[in-house]
Amino acid sequence: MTDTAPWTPDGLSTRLAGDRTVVWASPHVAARVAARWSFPHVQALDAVPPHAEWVVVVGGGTRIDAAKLWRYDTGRRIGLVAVPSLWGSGAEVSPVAVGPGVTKRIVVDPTLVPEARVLWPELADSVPAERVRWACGDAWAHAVEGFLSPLADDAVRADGAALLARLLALPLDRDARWFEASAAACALQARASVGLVHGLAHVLEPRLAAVGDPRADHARLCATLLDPVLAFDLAQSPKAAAHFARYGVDLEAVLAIAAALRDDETLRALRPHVDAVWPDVVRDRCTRTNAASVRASSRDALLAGWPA
Amino acid sequence: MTNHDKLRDLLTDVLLLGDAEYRTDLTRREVDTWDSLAVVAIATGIEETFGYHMSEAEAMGIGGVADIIVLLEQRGIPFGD
Repeated sequence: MTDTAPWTPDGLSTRLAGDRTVVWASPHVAARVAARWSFPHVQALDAVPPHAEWVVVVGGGTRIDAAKLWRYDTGRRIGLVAVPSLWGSGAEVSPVAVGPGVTKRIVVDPTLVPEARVLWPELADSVPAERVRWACGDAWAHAVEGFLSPLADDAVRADGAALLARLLALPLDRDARWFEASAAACALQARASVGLVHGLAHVLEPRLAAVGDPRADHARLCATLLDPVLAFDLAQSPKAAAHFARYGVDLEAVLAIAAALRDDETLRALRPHVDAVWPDVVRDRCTRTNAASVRASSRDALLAGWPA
Repeated sequence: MTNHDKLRDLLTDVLLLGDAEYRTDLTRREVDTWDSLAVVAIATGIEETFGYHMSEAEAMGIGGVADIIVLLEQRGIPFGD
């Protein structure tokens, strides 16, 4: 886990040699990146030349995770600089990488963490408002699930409480402070675990993607699932509420944020999918470390507050 | 419901076991869903069900159902019913 300060876009230009660095950027920001940095671009990671010493990956969490896994799988001795185009995933600071596929491949290894990250808030300017909101929900899910994790110790919970207070001061809207806040949220959960929000998202994403459902979006799912999962946790385990009280977190304010992130239309559409894949959700590694135990018989309790 | 019943319900529910699969001499090695992360879920469920918070060492030392029963009995939760 890196906790070093992010570089600026200008700082990256001065730190890396132009003839040893390549950029792998998402198409939606590639022109902007090319205008700012003179490094050559590659269209695929397989095209990174052998002499390259640095790859600068610019994009969302999926693209950053793909670069992390490419280096991990190939064993290339090459530096990685992550430039998130939107906050939320925290992939730029995380020792976890999630690969694509029907069964989500999750790798946890400290060597996955990029050597550096660049804070370039303007990249998020062109992101649609609803994606911005989902990204806020992604960060919130990391923070809440990390704070409540049964694997969290006192230090993690104290840091989590401070982080939750910090998030409560941010709008569910475009704000450059979300980049650092979401990186902190990701770092927090990496010290403990996530829970049922992520267990559901990891099982549902590939199922939805297989039928071309636009809801197959990690941040979107996390944002809307936080409210029902938090309600489930509070109903099933008295410890959940006790953690909020003990560490002085304003639970009512957190619940109001979760309610604001909830999208009933999405929950309604997800309901039959949850029914169908519930055993897989129970077995998911993230679900296993949920704040409240999740069992085969828990489905009805979870779905109780969902729109029919 | 006896404590044996509560423990059986918890483990079959968390580990997705069929009723016929559960035995008090069942061990972790026999259950493919009983991995290290399932241990966390079981520990969480034991706290919710019996009010006992297992330490990390206790949780990781559990080798099967019998170990859980012995541990809980040592903490004053009877299974003599």
